[in-house]
Amino acid sequence: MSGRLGYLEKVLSRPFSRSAWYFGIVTFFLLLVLIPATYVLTVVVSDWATIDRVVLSDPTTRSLVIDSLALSFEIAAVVTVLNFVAGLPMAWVLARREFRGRELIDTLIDMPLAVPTSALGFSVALFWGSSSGMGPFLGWSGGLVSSGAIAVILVHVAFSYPYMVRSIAAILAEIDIMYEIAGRTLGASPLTAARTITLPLFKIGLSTGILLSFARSISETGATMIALDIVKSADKTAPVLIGVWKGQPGMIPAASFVSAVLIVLAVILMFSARIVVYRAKIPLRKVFPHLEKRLSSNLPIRLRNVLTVAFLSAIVLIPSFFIFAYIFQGQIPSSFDWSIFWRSLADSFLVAGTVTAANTVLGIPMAIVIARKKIRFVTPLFDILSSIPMIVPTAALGFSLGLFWSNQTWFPFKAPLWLLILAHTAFTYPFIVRNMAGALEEIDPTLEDAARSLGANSLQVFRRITFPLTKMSILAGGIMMFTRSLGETGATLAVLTPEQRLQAPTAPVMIVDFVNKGFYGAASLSCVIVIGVTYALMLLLRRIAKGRVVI
Amino acid sequence: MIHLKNVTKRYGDVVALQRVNLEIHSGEYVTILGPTGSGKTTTLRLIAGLTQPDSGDILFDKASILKKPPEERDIGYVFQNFVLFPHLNTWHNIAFGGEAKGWSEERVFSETEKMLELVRLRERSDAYPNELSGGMQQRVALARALASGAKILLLDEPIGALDARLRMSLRYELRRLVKELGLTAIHVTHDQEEAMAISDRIVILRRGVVQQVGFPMDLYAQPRSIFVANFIGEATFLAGTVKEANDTGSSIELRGGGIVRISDLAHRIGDLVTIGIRPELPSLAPGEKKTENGLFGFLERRTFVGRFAYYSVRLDNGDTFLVKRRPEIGRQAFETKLRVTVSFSPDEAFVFAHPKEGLMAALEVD
Repeated sequence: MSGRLGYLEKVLSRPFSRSAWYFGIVTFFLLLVLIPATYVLTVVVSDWATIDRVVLSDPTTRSLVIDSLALSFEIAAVVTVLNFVAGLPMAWVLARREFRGRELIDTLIDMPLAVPTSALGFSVALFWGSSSGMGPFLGWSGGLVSSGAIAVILVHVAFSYPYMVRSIAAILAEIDIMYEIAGRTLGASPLTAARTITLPLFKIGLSTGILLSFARSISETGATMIALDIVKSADKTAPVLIGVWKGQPGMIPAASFVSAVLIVLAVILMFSARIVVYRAKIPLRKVFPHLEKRLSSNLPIRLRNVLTVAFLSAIVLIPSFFIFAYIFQGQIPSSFDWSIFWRSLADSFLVAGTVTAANTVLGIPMAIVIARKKIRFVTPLFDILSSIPMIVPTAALGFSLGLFWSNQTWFPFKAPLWLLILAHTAFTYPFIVRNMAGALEEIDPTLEDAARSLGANSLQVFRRITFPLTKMSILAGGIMMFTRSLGETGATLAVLTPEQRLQAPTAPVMIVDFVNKGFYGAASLSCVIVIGVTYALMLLLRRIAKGRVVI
Repeated sequence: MIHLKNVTKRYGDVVALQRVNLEIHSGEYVTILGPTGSGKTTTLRLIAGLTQPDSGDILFDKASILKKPPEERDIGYVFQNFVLFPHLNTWHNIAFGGEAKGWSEERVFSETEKMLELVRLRERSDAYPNELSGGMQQRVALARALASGAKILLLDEPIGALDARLRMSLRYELRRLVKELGLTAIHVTHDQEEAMAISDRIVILRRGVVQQVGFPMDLYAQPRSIFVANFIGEATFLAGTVKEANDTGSSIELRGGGIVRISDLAHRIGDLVTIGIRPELPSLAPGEKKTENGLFGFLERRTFVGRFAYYSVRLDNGDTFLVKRRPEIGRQAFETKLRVTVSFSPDEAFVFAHPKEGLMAALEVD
């Protein structure tokens, strides 16, 4: 490090610079993330008269709003239960058992994670709901599934199951297996030990996994629209409704109302989940020795393994990759204009790249503030606030954000691409903050103290000690932000009007559009291209990181 | 009765236990003593059913238990770091075993209360593990193992994680409880003093092989190998060759010079041997004294450790001889570099065939 840079580092480490630095981080968070994301609440409250007139007093609109919200929550509940029931045993087996083919299952589960949900959703929806999918194969005339809700549930399970498995397996791996072994020596059957010892020990982590699965299902828009379209269902989930109403100027107050309700419900859900987990004794302490012993024997365990693998293959993997088979039967008119798709692909990568870079720079300091409790009493508050964008449906968030920035007359960056970047920054921000804060909490703070005692200033400490120890988590957070931004449809549809979308098209929105217009062949090719490009990028990043990165 | 029959256990290429045979009687307090990596914990884990042997059999009261999972073996296992369930308080930790086995509520209650009383933790029954001191955690771990109705108590360095003074008092406590409840205990440790103090019998393991099994006193007085002589207590080892042997004993010429007389009849003229002498037995005198088995040298180092002092004497043949004596408190202490005579009587030395792998290799503890 040259003298001048060293001097700069020293100056920047002074108490005054540090205070300025923290001030900047907090300002960024409030101005670019929290305030725009919740702005719609103030609009709804201040303009309640309009809401009342347009939404609550109009029976058609009112029932649309209620039906869509109910549908969203029902779907999310079913998806979460399915994910939990099928995901827990899979996570358990992956974290606790050595068996042949483990590596393979491990890799297979990761695969859908990197694929944008609309591409994945198209594949799954085709598989279950179209006459080119599973239906004719089994002697059906049309698609196997014709209900909109069931199609959406199948799509959501396919993309959120891997998240559930990954997050449960990661927490399970952290829990010392000795506790379970101690339970066995005291006379507990394997099932009893797992249920009464390990499960309570990771209930907080488990509840986070469940909450995120729920939030992701409520939030998902692109794949949902595709699924509904393919089975020709007129149902709409709440984010879909927001996206549709965004293009109808008269329905803006209605869209505001739906967004506000989604934001409030998400926050209530998060807080009540926290309270329930800390208070409730979820797993019973009562033991059923004979039943549990019988369930721990060979046959039920083998049955469990078979069912888990069957679920993974039939519900997640085969439908997700059906598109590679479909692509050969899809028809693309030779006159098809691909130019807008290529532009959308470029835009998507531009937005995802910018967002990832900006949030990495701005999110890491916030993570340090949270994990190292730098700003005393407000730290716990930021801890909670910074995770809000993660559970609020992205469509609501995007809608609120669009409303906020279009109302700021002084704000110069109102081009569609800028709005996209702002919206994507807001909802991906928690990924880097949570990841980094989690990693920081794992590092013994005395390591940093030791470096300070050896004469390093705070920036040197970060550069030489903290960063090298957390870079894998930063990379994982970066990949997460990138793929989320790349696959996002809800926020994009909600922040941009249909005209603006044409000026700054993104790949997932284009795919939804192709499906909407009936260009299944073009949509499938687009999906394969997006999947291919994302996957190549992922492999490259892993190669660079030279290690396994759990997304 | 617990019976290990020809038990062998490998981890990959590493042999953890090799053809181990062991019989432990009901009501016995047996210690498995050995250095780190000698297979002590593996032995416990095999008995508990936490791992399976590659060959051989384990019997409880003449019936093989290899097919039984750990929860059906009626054992109590006390882990080195206690492994108390962090989400349960003292009371529920202790009650866990009974509950898991589906006992009636009254039985769980009375057993738990009885054990709380026995380990004197009634007033901490609501405390969570992280609120207890190390000693208390150890007592909870013990109470938890006992309350599950165990007849066999497996103790894996149960007091190793505690500080020295606490270890001293807890080991008697441990033995008292086991004897009071009429249990069979197998206690694993690498601390030879702890093993001597607490056990009915001691099993010495090294590199997965049983070296010697016996009463503490016998192991100390009649070690069967150089390793055991060194591991139980301390000893000075001197290499030499048998020069004369008759029915009263033999004369051994030490490597580097000097002849000593030993009342050993097992070796023949010309044999290479190593003799071992416990440090508390020889006498140490200033100057060159003509006495039986008197060896001359210079006092090289004196270490005062409180109850006694160690004297390290560099013999004229180059070997180092260790002597342990009461410290000369209030008397003139021996100065280093002093010319001294070390002497011992012929029946105070052990004689072993000289180890083929060399003395250092025979003493290695890992």
